[in-house]
Amino acid sequence: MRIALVVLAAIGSALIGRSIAQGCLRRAAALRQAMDAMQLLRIQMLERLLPLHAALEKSGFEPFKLAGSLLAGGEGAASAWKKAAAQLTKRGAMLDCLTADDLNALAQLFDGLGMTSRAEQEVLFSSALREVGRLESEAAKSGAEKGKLYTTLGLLCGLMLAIAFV
Amino acid sequence: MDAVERLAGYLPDGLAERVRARGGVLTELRLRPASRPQLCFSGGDELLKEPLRPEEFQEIAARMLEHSLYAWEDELRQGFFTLPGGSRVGVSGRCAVEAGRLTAITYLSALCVRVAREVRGAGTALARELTKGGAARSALIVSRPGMGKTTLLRDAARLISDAGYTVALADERGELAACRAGIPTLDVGPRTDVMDMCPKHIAISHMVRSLKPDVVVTDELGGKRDADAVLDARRSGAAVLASAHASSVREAERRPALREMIRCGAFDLVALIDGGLGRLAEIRELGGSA
Repeated sequence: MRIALVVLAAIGSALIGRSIAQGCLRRAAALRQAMDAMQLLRIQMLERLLPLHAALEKSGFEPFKLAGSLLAGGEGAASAWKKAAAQLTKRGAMLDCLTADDLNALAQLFDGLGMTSRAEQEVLFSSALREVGRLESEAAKSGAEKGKLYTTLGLLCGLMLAIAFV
Repeated sequence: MDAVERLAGYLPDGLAERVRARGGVLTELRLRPASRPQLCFSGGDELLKEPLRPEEFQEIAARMLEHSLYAWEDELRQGFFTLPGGSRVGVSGRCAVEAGRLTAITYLSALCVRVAREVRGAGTALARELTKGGAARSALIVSRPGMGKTTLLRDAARLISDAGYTVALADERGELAACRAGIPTLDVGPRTDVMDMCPKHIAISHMVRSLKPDVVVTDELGGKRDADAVLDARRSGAAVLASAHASSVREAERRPALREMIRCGAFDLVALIDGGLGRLAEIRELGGSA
């Protein structure tokens, strides 16, 4: 019985460590999704010439879709994104893993989205993609490092518990 | 929702109320930043008391453009864009010109909204003439600007379509059918296919090739490419119903492209609008075929 409890505690600690590690990797994944959505958004806006709200709704990324539906209700792009981001960065929501830098990069994109010519929108997209790409590689790197760290820490805690109980 | 109600949706509350109140007789709404909004009617105008703040003007423009200026760039370069419901918005502002061509309008300084009207029955006489004798005939509607050519054209297209003919509508400015996501918001008839926001010479050729229409309908013919497309459509067996700016047939013939179409027999009839909004003064036989 005692041994079974010790094994369970060790596995539990390892899983907690693993779950924290997953949280770190979610940021990179969310930024990757945002980049894919931005590419699609660029095509819908600048090649298919869809109005901004329709282009956002076709981007396949929930946060952009939400901003698109707010925009269709008469909001400007910047304020629609502000409202969408406020909803989606709450604890447990889709973007709660993003940092202030990540959110700033996306807010800068939405600040300029829609209200300039096609050539200016191209520049806006390439600059936003460059910035989000930089943040994503930073997040992927630190996610991998922290992921290993937290998994190992979890395992070590589990082993310490096991030793203490035995 | 009619054009006036759609227009009111873009405006601040006070102005929207006034537009709704005068909606029945309103022909144009003219807006300028830091100036009093001007409501135009067929017999005069009204300047509202309160000037429009520059930020209100910008907000109205942004909403009319669906916060998507990039999508309307080509239309703005031509000086206008179309609202859902078919109202046309003329714009002016600071222009960027390159090699003698207008490349962009920045700092919008005026919006002139021409309120679209759907007048059912306006095209009855014309549609009757066009469908007399079974096979559809071709006609050119001629009038000065702002006399209701588009209204007449739209209603005639609806009636021809109702009468059993397949109609192809080349709606370059989006005023005839006022499509929203591909669906006409104005009634253009049950047998009508629409190609909108596309240069009319491309739209006419495309539709004749791919949709086999009995009648091609289009607005404001003018250039050589339009003439070539219309004559091609006629040679392919489709009738053409179109409009052009001119105060008489003689004046229309002074424009090279219209003269070529008339002389090559592109039209069987010419309809003149005069003396009132969409009111036909005369329908005259021209004779000949392309």
